[in-house]
Amino acid sequence: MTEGDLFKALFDVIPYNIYLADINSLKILYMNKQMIKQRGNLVGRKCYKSIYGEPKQCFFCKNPDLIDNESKPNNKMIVSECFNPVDDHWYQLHEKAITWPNGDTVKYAIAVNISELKETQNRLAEAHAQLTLKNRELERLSETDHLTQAYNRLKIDELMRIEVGRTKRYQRVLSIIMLDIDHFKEVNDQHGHQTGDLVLKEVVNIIKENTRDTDFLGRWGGEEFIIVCPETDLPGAHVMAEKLRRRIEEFNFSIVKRKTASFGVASLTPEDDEVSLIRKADESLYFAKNNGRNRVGK
Amino acid sequence: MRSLNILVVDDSQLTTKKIAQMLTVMGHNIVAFAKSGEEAIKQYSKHNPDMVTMDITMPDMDGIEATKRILQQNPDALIMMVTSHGQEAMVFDAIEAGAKGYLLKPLHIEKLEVNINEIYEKYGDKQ
Repeated sequence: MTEGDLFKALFDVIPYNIYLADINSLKILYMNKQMIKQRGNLVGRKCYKSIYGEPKQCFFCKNPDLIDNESKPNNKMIVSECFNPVDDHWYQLHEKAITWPNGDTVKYAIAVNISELKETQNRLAEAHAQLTLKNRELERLSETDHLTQAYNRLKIDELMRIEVGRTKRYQRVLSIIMLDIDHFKEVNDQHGHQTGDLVLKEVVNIIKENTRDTDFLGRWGGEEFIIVCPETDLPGAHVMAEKLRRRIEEFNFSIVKRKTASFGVASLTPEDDEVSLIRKADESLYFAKNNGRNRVGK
Repeated sequence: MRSLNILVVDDSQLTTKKIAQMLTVMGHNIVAFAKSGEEAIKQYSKHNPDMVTMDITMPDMDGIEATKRILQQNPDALIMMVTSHGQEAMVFDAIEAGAKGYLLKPLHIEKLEVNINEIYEKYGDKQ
């Protein structure tokens, strides 16, 4: 009995799938009885194709990690978990390179079916994913205004604190825009609250389409919104406010058709904090309201 | 639920075939297959599908990166991971990247159907 036969005889009594493959040609040289029973005799075929259904060497193949620079066994045993899409089973793989009696380097792999164990683990992981998704959803709900999907007051307060801090620390510029829909009460009075809600949503869409991803939009009060614009100076904020004013003025609203808004603009100075910045924007908005509406305040 | 147009992303031909079969049985439409992250992004902008099934481990760009990129360009994209990676960190990364579902292989048609319906009901028709 040769050394190789001895190996094979030993492998045949082990109740797990075992195969040997040439480390270079990737041809299967041997399968034990258990594996032949389950998968049929694949000796002489390529391992990636016949065992894993891959068109070329599996990119998760461990062979390169089992040999040294001269393609000789490095005596490492690598244990990994692997899902096989051919039979839809999970396996724990124990893989090691050895020198076959004829001098070739071959890999033997012992595959223990761990599908039942994985089913439990996987259910747990899927539950974990569900939980993470729910948490994310809750987080989103806690910081957005339900009607318009703009940030709520709480979140905008937090963002303002962060942005004012960052702007001062790095001596950057920061501006905010406040806007108030003109004669909004009339919409609710004449057309009902549903129409009022629709106008709010449409205004939010206009703003979102005409601001940058880095700007934050929040609902400040009933029909009042705030846009926090990092890295934007006062002239820049004026340009942006004027553009928004025009877009709203030109927009064909679903039911009320025409609607306008007034704007206030302010920029952070070294003396300012969140409160004074908002007060300045408020004053600018007040100016616009008192000077005929549908305009940007000084 | 209406019939959805779905993009199937997985580097294993066998897996894409199985997923496609299940989706077809459920009455959905496979608009394209992609074998890598790069290809997924291209196919997404070409077909603008209603939903994507996304593998994680793929040659070149992985599924989490592809998910991020697709969502950057299409914030409403509905992407569901279908993967063999169950580690907590991977799950977390995928959800953080914006995946709306996470399924582990082996895939069963019941599991796939429940998840597609759930995602669709929750996040609805994208515009």
